[in-house]
Amino acid sequence: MKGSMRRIGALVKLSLLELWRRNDMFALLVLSLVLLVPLSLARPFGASGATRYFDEVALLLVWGYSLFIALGIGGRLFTSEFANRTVYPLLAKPISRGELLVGKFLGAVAASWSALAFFYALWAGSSLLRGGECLTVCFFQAFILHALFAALAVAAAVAGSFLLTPSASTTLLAILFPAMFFFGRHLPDYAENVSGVLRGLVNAFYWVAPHVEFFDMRQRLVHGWGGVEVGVFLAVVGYGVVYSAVLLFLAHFLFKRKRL
Amino acid sequence: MVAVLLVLVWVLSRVAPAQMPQAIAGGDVLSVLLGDAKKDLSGAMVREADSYFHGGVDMDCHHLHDHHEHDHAHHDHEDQAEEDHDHKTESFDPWRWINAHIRAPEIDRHLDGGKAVEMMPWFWVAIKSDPHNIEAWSTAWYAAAHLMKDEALALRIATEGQRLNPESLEMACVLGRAYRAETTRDQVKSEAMFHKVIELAEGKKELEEGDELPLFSALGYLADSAKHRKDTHELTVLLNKARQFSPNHPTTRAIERMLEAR
Repeated sequence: MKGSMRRIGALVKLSLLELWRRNDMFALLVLSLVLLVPLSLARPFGASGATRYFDEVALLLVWGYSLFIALGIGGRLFTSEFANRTVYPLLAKPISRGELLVGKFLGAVAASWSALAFFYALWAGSSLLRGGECLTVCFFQAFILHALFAALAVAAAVAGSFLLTPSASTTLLAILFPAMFFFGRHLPDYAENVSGVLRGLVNAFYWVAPHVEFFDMRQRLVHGWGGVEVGVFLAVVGYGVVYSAVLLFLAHFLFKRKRL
Repeated sequence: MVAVLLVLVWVLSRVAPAQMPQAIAGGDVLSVLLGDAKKDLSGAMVREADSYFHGGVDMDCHHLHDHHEHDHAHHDHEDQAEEDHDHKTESFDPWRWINAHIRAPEIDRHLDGGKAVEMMPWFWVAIKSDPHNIEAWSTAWYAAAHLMKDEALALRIATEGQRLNPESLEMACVLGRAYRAETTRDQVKSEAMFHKVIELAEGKKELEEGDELPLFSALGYLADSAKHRKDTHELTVLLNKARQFSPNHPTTRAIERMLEAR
């Protein structure tokens, strides 16, 4: 058990180092500055004092970045190992496929969360500088749910990389997640407007597709509504954990069956 | 690469607009990027401003709410009965329940006073996307004049909106009202705008949907001014015009009563 934890710990450390050594984070930071600095100087109709639009756009960017990072890391986890044939020496050591999967998954999640924490800290800093109140219950709830979203995205990317080619899997998820984020809650309304088999398909999709919009607490944060009720919060946490676990089990099943 | 292509399309649409009918000649970067979708974007931005007015609540999600918790002020008893019936027949949907609680909590707060400035960026984008979105102009003016109580800002918005939409009855009426405000009062310009509304209406073969309200508002304001000046002749002229458009309209009846009282 102790040896297993040590091996998993080493994999987590490797993933963290990989993310911060790459230029992705630096590029995203520069992109944020290019987009947000002019936005912060905007005076629509010459009126000053509006800040919520800035917070909303900044948080939307953080969502975009977190998806980009999670899908990128998750998609690369095993494909690069297979392509470079480095998976063979890894598995030749006393490490099981399950340990490798869990270790790499936790490493990718830790890397995603560290990036997320960095961007949330920047957002909180900018909010404090503008005289806002940000270290609230709502802020921490928003961060936790966002972190669960990142874990779910990594799990989906890992499972997808065993099912499809890396580019196909990443492209599909890069379409599916934003689509669910913006339109997921409207699926029952779309189902009402179609009939027959299509209605059944839309309804089935509504029940099984990842409802990533559950994790989005931007509106609460931007408009200062306060935190969500504990019951609802735990329901979303449970949803995220269960969905990620199912995807990981699927990935494990596919990895075990994969001929090396 | 994409930026270079966009610049190329923009330059070509300027240099040879006839050869590039698919490009929107004379347009800005948004025109090149979005084309006709700009109108949809503009509408979406007005809805976003509306959501901000309601404290950021996602109005699309409100109908998802459990009716026991739902207590919106403008729901009448008939709506409530209908909703009760719908809820009895609907089964529990956990996804809907989560979404409703995350995105549309039962708060009843509205932006007013200085905080209404939060809506302005969305109106600004709406107007930049489609300068002919009259709803965006008039709502932005309303928010500035009546929520923020910033009459100078309201006048700037109304003036620019009317300049870009000279054929719009509503924008002429809005500008007329902006000139009636306490700090920006200019009776001559205000009345000139209200007369312009009537002229625009007279120039039309048939009034369009939405034209009636600004037209009769303008007639009402002008009649009110004439009444204060004790100008019976002007009232008679206005009554004839009002009758010409709609003899049974409440404003027509109101002008009749003003004349009878003389």
